[in-house]
Amino acid sequence: MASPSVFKSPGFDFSNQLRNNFLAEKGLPLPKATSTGTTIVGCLFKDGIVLGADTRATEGEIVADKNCEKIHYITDSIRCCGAGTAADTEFTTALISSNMELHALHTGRKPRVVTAMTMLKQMLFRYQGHVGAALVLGGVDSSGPHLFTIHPHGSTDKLPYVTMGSGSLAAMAVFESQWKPNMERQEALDLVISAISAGIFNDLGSGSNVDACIITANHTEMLRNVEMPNERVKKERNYKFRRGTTAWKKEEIRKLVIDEQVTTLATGDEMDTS
Amino acid sequence: MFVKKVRQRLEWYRHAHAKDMPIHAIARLIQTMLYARRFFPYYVYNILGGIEEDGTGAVYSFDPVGSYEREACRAAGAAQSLVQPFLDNQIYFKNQTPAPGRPFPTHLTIEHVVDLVIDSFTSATERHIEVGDGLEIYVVFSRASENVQAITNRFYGSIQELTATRDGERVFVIRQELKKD
Repeated sequence: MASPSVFKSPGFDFSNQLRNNFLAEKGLPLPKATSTGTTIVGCLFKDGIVLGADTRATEGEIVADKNCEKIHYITDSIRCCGAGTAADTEFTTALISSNMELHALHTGRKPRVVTAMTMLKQMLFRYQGHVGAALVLGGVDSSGPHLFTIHPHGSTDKLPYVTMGSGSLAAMAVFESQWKPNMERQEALDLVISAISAGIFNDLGSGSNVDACIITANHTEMLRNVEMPNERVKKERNYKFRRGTTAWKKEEIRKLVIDEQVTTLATGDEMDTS
Repeated sequence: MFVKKVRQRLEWYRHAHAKDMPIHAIARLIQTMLYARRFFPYYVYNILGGIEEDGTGAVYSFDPVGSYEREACRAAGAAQSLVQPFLDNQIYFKNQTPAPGRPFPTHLTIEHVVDLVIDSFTSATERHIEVGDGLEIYVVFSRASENVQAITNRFYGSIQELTATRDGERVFVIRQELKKD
C-alpha cells in the first residue's frame, strides 16, 4: 500500500499484486515482458572458452531490438550469456558482476568462475524461478577454463559444450555433430558461429547477427557482430517526406528571450586558464 | 481447402453459364460460402484480387464469416497491424497534406505499387518473427493494359507468366527472397 515514507526496502515490490490479479480476472492480461527468445552457446576448446549469442530481442512476435547484446561482463576473464527475460538477465548479471569485484578486493585473489556460478544459482533459487534468467557462464581462472549453464530455478550443469534459449535445440544439433575435445581457436570459433547461425535461421525467436567472445588465460576478446548474415536489403523507394507534409492547425511562437544585454569584459574574449 | 471449394464452384459456373464468373460475383459467392458455416466457421482470412467486368482492378477482403468490402488496398495476416498503416499512408495518402498545387494522384503506376509491396514485406520481415523466407507477388493485368512490358523488363529473371495466351487478361508471378532469420 502507498506509504508516506521515502525509504524503499530492497528487493521486489509486490504492492501491485492485488490490483494485477483483479485486472487479470477482468480480462486484462499482464503486459508481455521483453524476452530475448534467443540462441546462446558456450564451448570449451584447447586454450579456453568461446561464448556465442544471437542479437534479437522479442516482445511476443514482434522484434523489439534487432541488435542487442546478450554477452554480459562479469569480470575481465569471465563472461555470461543470458536468455529469458531481458531485464532479469541484465540486472542479475550486473549484480553478480558488482559483487564479484567486491569479493576479489576482499579476498585479494583473482575471481573464479565457480564463485560467480554459486552467487547466481543461490540468487535464482531464492526467487524460485520467478527471475526468468537462463544463463551460460564461462571463463578462465587460476584453476583453468570452466563452462556452466544455470537454469531459472537455480540448477547448474558443468559441461564442455552448452546451449540455452529457444534456439538451443538447433544449436545443440550442430554441436553434437561437430564438437570434439581440444579444438583450435579458429575451429572452435567457426563451430560456435555455425551453431548460433543454426539457431538464427531455424528458430523464430532468434535472429540478426552473431556475437562471440573468446576467453583465454591471459586475454579476453569480445567479437561484437562477428557475423552479420542478415543485413537489410536496400529499400525499393525513398520515403522521405516533403517539408510541410504534416498538417498543423495552430501556430504559436513564443519568444523566451525578453531582454538581452551584452557586456564585454575588459580582459577580452579569451578564457582565463591561469 | 476453402480455395479448392471456391475453384470447384467457379468451374460449375463456367459449365452452367458458358462464361467466366465476374469478380463481383465471385466475391458474393465467397460471402455465401463463408456465411453458410456461420456456426462452425472456416478459419480463413480471404483477400480476392482480379479484374472487374469493366476492366478496372478490384480487391475484395473478407472476414472468416463472410463480411466483405471492395477496397483499393488491404493487408491481412500476422503483420497486418504493421503493414496496413503503411499502405494507408502510401496508397490512400492518409495523414499527409499534398503540396499546394500538386494534389495526390488517384492511380499509381504498377512499378510504384510493386515497389511498395516489396518494401512492405521486407519491413514486416524485419520486425515480425513469423514473416520472412520468401515472397510471391501475383500481378493481374486487364485485357488492354500497356504496362505489362514495364514489369517484365524490371523483374526479368524472377518473373513468370501463368496465362497461356497473350490476348485477354494476363497473370504473372514475381518471386523474391526475404530474410530467413
